[in-house]
Amino acid sequence: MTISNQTSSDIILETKNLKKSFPVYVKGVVRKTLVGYIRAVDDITIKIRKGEVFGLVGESGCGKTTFGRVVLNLLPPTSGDAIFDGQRIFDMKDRKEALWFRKQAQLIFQDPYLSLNPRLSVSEIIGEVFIIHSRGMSKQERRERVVKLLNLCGLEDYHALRYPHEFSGGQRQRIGIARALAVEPQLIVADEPVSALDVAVQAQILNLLKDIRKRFNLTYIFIAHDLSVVRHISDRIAVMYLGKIVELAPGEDFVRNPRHPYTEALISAIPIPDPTLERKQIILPGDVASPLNIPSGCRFRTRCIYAKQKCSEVEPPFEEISPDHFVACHYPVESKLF
Amino acid sequence: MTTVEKSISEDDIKISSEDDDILVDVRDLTTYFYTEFGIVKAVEGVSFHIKKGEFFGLVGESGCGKTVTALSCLNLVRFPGMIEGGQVFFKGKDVLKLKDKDIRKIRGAEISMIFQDPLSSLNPVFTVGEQIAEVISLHEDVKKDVAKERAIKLMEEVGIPLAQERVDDYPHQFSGGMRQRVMISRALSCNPTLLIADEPTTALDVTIQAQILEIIRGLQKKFGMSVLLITHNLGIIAENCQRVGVMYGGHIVETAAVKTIYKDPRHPYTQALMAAIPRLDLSIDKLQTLPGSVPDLIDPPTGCRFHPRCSYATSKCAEVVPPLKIWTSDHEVACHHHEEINASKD
Repeated sequence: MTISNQTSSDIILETKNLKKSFPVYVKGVVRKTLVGYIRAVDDITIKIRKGEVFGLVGESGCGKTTFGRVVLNLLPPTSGDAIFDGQRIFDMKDRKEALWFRKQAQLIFQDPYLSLNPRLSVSEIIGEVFIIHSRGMSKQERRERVVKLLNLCGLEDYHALRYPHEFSGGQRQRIGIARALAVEPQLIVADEPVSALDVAVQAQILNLLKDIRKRFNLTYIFIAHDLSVVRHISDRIAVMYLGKIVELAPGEDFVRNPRHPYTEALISAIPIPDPTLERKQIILPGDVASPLNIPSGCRFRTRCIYAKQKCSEVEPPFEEISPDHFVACHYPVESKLF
Repeated sequence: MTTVEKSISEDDIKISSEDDDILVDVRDLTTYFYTEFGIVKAVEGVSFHIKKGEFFGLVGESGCGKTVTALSCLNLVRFPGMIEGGQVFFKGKDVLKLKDKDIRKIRGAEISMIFQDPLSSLNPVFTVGEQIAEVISLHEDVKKDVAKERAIKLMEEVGIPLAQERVDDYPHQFSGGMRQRVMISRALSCNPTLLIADEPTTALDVTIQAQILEIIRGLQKKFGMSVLLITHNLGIIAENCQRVGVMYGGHIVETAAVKTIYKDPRHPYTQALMAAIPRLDLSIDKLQTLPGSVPDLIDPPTGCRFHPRCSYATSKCAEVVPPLKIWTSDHEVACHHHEEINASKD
């Protein structure tokens, strides 16, 4: 896929100035007063390519989960647009259109303990999908499809009759994946799918996600806070800071040659299991600013070790500074961390 | 009974005469939990030592007994848990045999501990200053205002800005990273010789994690204390510790100097663990996985607890628990077959 000559058919999902804010109230004795808005997603314009794994990293509270929910039309946006396969998803009002979009785009959740109904058996959890999306499917066929999906995700036939509490965390995540695959979607948003799992199980799930992507030519938006995991699975990586994407680049380029000071610090802060590796460590001062009170100009400037006068006055635009490498910074760094 | 006593007294002599630089020596520690579902054999026959001024790491997956080991070192295991056996020598004294009155003098003063979740280990109804000062006045005979002054100094030491004012704030007014700093300053209030840090950064973001680990490293150098760092993150071990113990299913399977173990992991579990983590600095196509899942410690596998998941297991592995044996001077392995397994490497 060439980068400069992108035709619209290469793009599966496009967001244009997407914004989502949440009002914050303080409850008084008589009434609650609005004290401000949390700008969880603040003006994001990106294109996600067909068949890629788009990794989205950021610290807690940066808005990555909100972004995932908004592009799935699970949360209404405050403003902006999202176009999926040529269709504006926020315009879909009737049930038919909404069902069509649900069939195209699915979600895998973080917590495999909370995302499965404890009162349904696995065959009911996955079979429910067919009741909604493939009306008229016979019971027999439904059962066969469930078993097929379970096998695909590394579970056995007899697991279909069991209930969620009978499974380990990794197995539950497999059920969640099987459920997402049931509608044969094109896009899967995976929101921290492995962060609740131990390393050995995490490796199994990551391998499974990689396998099924190849097999069904899926597109992932892979949201996680662990950059090592994101780098392992993603083709391109975007990093969010206080509601904005500040850098977007192909995986290798992103890790080897970060241009935004935040990315540089983030990468240098991740412990690498190799005691012989000598590298520069940048320790950021302070905490993330409150999303209720985003700093003027560049929102990262309060923690940036390179911040200058201009950074507090002008918000840096999100620009392509080298082929396929986008950064929102007035003074991009040249960094070789490894 | 007499033989037991004899062996202890021999140990006592040994520790005071030969190993002057050993601060903590844990031998054959066994802790069980008596639950309604059965006896959870959480820690069994765990032995390791920490030298003076050493940064020692304990790594393993969740439920492998890391935290129980640390709590046992302070004799803090509570019902339904019981320390079944073993000794924990701290400065030559067996902590597990001390009277309540005596061990209280050690806890918080000579050995202090910080936990994973700083919010649940701070009392919400007292200011952070009061909570730090409490530790000081408990162990030392000082006036209230002196203790508060010291609390402020400690808060400055760990990099809490405006400590003078923030000393009167309550825990909920601090961010996660700042709360963990408060915990560290409280742990440091009586100049401990051993700091036990149980997953101190797991609840924090990576940039804050880097800050906290830098503080712990800095303080360790400054005060020359030993640190027992418990984590599941092999990267944190590599970047902070000098020696490491790897735990699996309540046993220690390998201990070694950090530089050695990452270059030459000898236990099949250590090898599998290292091959299962995605790396930031390397591009890996397929991660190695382990078959099966972590053992149920109510009914753990006989022999080597790793044998049902180990591709090299033989009938001996299912029968005999492999002892932790010295391989090289700074490397111990608990595996019957590690020499054959690693023959091609050696």
